[in-house]
Amino acid sequence: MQETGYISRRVDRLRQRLASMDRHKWIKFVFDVLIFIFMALVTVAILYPLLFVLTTSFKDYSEFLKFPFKIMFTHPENYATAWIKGRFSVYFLNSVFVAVCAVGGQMIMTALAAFTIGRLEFKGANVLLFVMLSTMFLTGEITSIPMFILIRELGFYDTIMALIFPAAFGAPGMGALLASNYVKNIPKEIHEAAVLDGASIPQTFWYLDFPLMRPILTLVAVMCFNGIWSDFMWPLVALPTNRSAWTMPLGLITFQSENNAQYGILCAGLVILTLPIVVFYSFFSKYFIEGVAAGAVKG
Amino acid sequence: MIGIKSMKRQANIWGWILSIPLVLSILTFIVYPLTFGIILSFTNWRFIPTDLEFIGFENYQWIFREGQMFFKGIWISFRFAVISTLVQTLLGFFLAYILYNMGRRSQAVYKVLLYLPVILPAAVVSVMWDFIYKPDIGLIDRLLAIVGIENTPLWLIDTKWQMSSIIFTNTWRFVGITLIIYFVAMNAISREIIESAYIDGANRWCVLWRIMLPLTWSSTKINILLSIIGGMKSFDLFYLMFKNDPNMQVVGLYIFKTAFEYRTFCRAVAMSVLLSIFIGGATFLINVLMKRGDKEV
Repeated sequence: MQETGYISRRVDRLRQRLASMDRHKWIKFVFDVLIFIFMALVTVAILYPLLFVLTTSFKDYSEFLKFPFKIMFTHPENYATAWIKGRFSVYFLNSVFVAVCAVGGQMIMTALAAFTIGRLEFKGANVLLFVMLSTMFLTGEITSIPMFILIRELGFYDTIMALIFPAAFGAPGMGALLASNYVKNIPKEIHEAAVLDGASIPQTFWYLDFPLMRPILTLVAVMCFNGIWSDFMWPLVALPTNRSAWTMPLGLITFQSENNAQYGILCAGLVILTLPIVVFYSFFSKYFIEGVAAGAVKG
Repeated sequence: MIGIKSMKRQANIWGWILSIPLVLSILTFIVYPLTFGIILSFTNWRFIPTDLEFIGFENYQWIFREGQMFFKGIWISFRFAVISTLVQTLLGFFLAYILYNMGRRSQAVYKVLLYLPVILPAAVVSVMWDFIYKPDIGLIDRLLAIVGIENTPLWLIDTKWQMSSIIFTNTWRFVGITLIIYFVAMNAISREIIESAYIDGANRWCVLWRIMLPLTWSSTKINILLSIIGGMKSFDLFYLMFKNDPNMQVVGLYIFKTAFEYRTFCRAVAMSVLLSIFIGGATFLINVLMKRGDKEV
């Protein structure tokens, strides 16, 4: 009894508050409710597909047909099946290997580019930057077809070197722009003091600018890792047949065509490919988001 | 004592020495492919080095004579790019403004959540949505069945629906970028302007149209450019979801097939050159049009 009395009192109070609102407040109230509903819908639309895949990955075929929305963890062995059937251990190691080489190479290239363009500001620095950035307006095929020919000439075709070589030594366009602007904002005085104390230019690079660049280099590394881990077109072109050198995305596509009706196992494969990147993202989300903002403002 | 002049000279010398790797990389990965590619587009080279012959503009003439598929591809890409740009920019703008009016905590959470799909690999997105659009048992059809809608179309095969489906997926994937770009721009507007507008009696709707929209105009321009260029170049989702569907052969997919399946590299490069010119032209046009809009505001 006391319960219903409490509820009716709350309802009365809400009614009073609604009655005391003037027109403006009413409109605002309705608006807020609409926006709340809209945001709830957007959140569900963004996240639910991912959750749906995650829950399906723990079901077998009949469970998926009977209880598509139920959360249950009855078949964790789907992951083992997917891992073995999809040969993901090979693809996973390849992906990690290519990504690590790419990040290492790109960090060195970007640090050197940032130091020479942003700090030394030598004659011709802007030409280098301009050439690197101008490629953003070109379509991928113009450069990928000659690259394909070059890779064949070098004998890298259908080997893992075909992925590593361009990923590690490619020109860091956006990264070089961001990092050189970052270096330009480090006060010149530190640098001059070091030179007056007798430091040579390579020493200032190694002991001063390189450590100071760490935040922007982390950003570049994070963006580079994500790009390489996700890349699909270049491996498809450069590694058509050599399965032992494939990376995760190519593996997933083949896996999909082989397991198109085994939804649980297919979804387990999806989770296996996505999980590393989501874990990575949960640690570095700040850098991902900063990266897109910085890139857009400068570009 | 080290003079300024010798410091400058030293900086130049070391600048060149330390950028040797960078210059080599630019030569190998930008200058060489670009010049070689453009030269290739004037030849009939077909994998045999001795067979190379300059044929002038023949490849380009071929495209205008017999390349209906190329122009059809451009048209499909263009439709895709324009519609998804509209949807994505509008949605991103409103979402960013809603986020702007939220508390700090929910802002942080929402930024991370809404940006999550952007980082997912294309392979994951395509396999996932292929599964979600599956007839009868996919997520969409299941949800519609709960509401009581049966006999749903085949989302990815029905010619009336496939474009909407891919645009929905594409928006799901990339709206995070648009949102973050707007959000950063909105936060860069000084709070004083907005507070004084509120004191003068403006409501949120008014602030949105009279302050936020004009003051984030440069972000609108960036967002539209990024998504038009991205849309025209789009390849991976179409390759993965519509590889053999004649109605969805976007230009990127057609060029890819011309090169790596039909093995006519020279024609593919010529098409790429034309497409790049088209994209460059579109970029220039958007820049001009939106500059005019800038002045009106």
